[in-house]
Amino acid sequence: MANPENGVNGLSIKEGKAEIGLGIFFTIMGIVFLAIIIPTQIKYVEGAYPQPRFFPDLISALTVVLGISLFIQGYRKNKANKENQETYTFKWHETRLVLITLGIIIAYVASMYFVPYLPATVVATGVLVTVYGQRKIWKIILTALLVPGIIYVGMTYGLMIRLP
Amino acid sequence: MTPIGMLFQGFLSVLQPINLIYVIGGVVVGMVLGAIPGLTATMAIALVIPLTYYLTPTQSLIMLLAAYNAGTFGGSISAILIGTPGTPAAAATVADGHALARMGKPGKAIKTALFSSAFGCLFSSIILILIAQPIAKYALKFGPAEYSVLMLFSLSIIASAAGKSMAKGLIGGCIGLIFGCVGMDPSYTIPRLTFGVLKLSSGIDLVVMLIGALALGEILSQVESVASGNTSAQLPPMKTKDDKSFTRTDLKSTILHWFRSSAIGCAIGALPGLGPALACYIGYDVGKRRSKHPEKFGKGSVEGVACAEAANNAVCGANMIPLLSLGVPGDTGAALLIGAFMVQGLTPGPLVFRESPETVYNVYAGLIICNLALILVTLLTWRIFTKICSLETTIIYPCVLMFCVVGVFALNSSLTDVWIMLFFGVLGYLLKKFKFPIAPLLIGFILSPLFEKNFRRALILSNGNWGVFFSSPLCWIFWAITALSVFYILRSKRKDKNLTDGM
Repeated sequence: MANPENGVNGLSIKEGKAEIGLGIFFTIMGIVFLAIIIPTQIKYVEGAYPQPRFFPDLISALTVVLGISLFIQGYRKNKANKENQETYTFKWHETRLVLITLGIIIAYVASMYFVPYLPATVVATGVLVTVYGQRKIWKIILTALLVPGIIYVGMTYGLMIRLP
Repeated sequence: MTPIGMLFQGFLSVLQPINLIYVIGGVVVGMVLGAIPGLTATMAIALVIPLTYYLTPTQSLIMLLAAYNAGTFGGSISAILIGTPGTPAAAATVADGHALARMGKPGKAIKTALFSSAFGCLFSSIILILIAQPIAKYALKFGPAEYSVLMLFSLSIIASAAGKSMAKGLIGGCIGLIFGCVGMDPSYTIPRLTFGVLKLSSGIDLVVMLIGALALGEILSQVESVASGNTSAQLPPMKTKDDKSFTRTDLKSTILHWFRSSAIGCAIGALPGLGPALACYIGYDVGKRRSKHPEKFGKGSVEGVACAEAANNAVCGANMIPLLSLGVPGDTGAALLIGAFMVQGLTPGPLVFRESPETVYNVYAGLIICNLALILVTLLTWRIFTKICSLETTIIYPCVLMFCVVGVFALNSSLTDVWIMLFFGVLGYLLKKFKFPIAPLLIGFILSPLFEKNFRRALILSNGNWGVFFSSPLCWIFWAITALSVFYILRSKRKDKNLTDGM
């Protein structure tokens, strides 16, 4: 589904197709909840009415119904008008930056189990500012030192919260 | 003590220097975040909530209300200066506000928006003071069955907030509802959907979920624009003297619009689920039709800015009417405020008037005073905001991300909370990417435990008799309101669809 015609370097999906896919996904998700997750994760209580499973079951059943209706909605859109549909685009360079951001944050949070808050945050802030395209060294250093410093002082001495 | 005496006490309490600092702090945070495109008043509240854990209920609530009100106004600053609404509520301000700025009158536009916003919020605050308690007194007659039906009505907000696709909105609501079930069962204390994670047995923290889905999800979406090269904004030049003043002539031309738009905003804010974005458009539209110079609307009309801004900020005070009197959130911002009340050990709704009346009157006084603080702070700092609007996103986004992480960690000094926030951040991002509205997710999450608790309690008390939900006149009234609400929502969706099909 790469769409080189309109110059999008990545994935481009028509609304109808996306809704069909999402409809299938949510229908399966609802069924998985009803058949596997809820029975294994919520115990049956003898004589209880309504059961602790009642609400989650109800919501999952509703999700299945809505998943099917989203599927039908997508199918109809696809059939009726393929040209005037909205398009969901996943441009590679945009998605890559989102993934890099997530990667940096995950590494940053994981590092706080071993490294103190201040150095971990200084590095993470500096890396994020750089990754987002900032090329002026003084801005990178100032942001990387100032923001964690203010947070650290505010939290530790202002709100008396011990940071990792 | 009489209500007037309580209100006087409220003013004395809020006017204490320490409380004023929190009001001004809330105003500054709200304005800054509101002024940054993409960061909304709701996000301002989400980011301020963790800080309020350590404050008294009054300090916490007045700070959040100040952030909410200032955030709603703040959206107009970027709407005027860079032609991009900082918040959806400022969408109607763009046309006239930015046109005024391009004419070299950004100061006039900002001051018109400021005085209109303050008037709108003051107007709705007075309405709130007058009618919230009478409604709440009646609401004390509610039992679990009445509450269940009321919650069902509140859940119909999900359909209203669903946006273009009802199915997507409702699915978002279902996701919120299912996450609201995580934790100990309220009646039989057995773990539900915890997957053996001990931390989840106490449920998912509302603030963790909100910061994740709203703030982090939004930042991840905005990061995409950084990848496309949008790292700064361009400011219009300020040249003439006239750009700084809101004159007596301007006041004369806008005062009637203020009253009309404020009344519209009040009515919309008092009805759950409609929100300030709708109010600003209706206020603007009605104002245009009633104006002596409708041809100027959209081309730099002071009246246009006044109509939109008075209407959207009137929603801030009016949103508190269903919140305080019935415990029903009017919009996402109000839903966050419910969370803030709960964090402070208060349950919004009729009982709050009995359990903590002083807090309620402090909130009233805080709402009024935060407008004065908003005027003061804006008049002193509006020039600085012209600079903030041009701050590079390469610096803003990392800062907000760091605040998200530390804010969530600070709740329980737990890194597990940060992981949960990351999960909701990714979920929020994906939902936005596939054009799922976020509001239903939040509303579902907040209402899920309330609805389930009352629903099951009603069934247990009635020995499983479902007729309990139709047993009192109040139940019938709420069934009727729910049916009407669903009917109007479906009708408006159909109208929208017909309009879209016609275009």
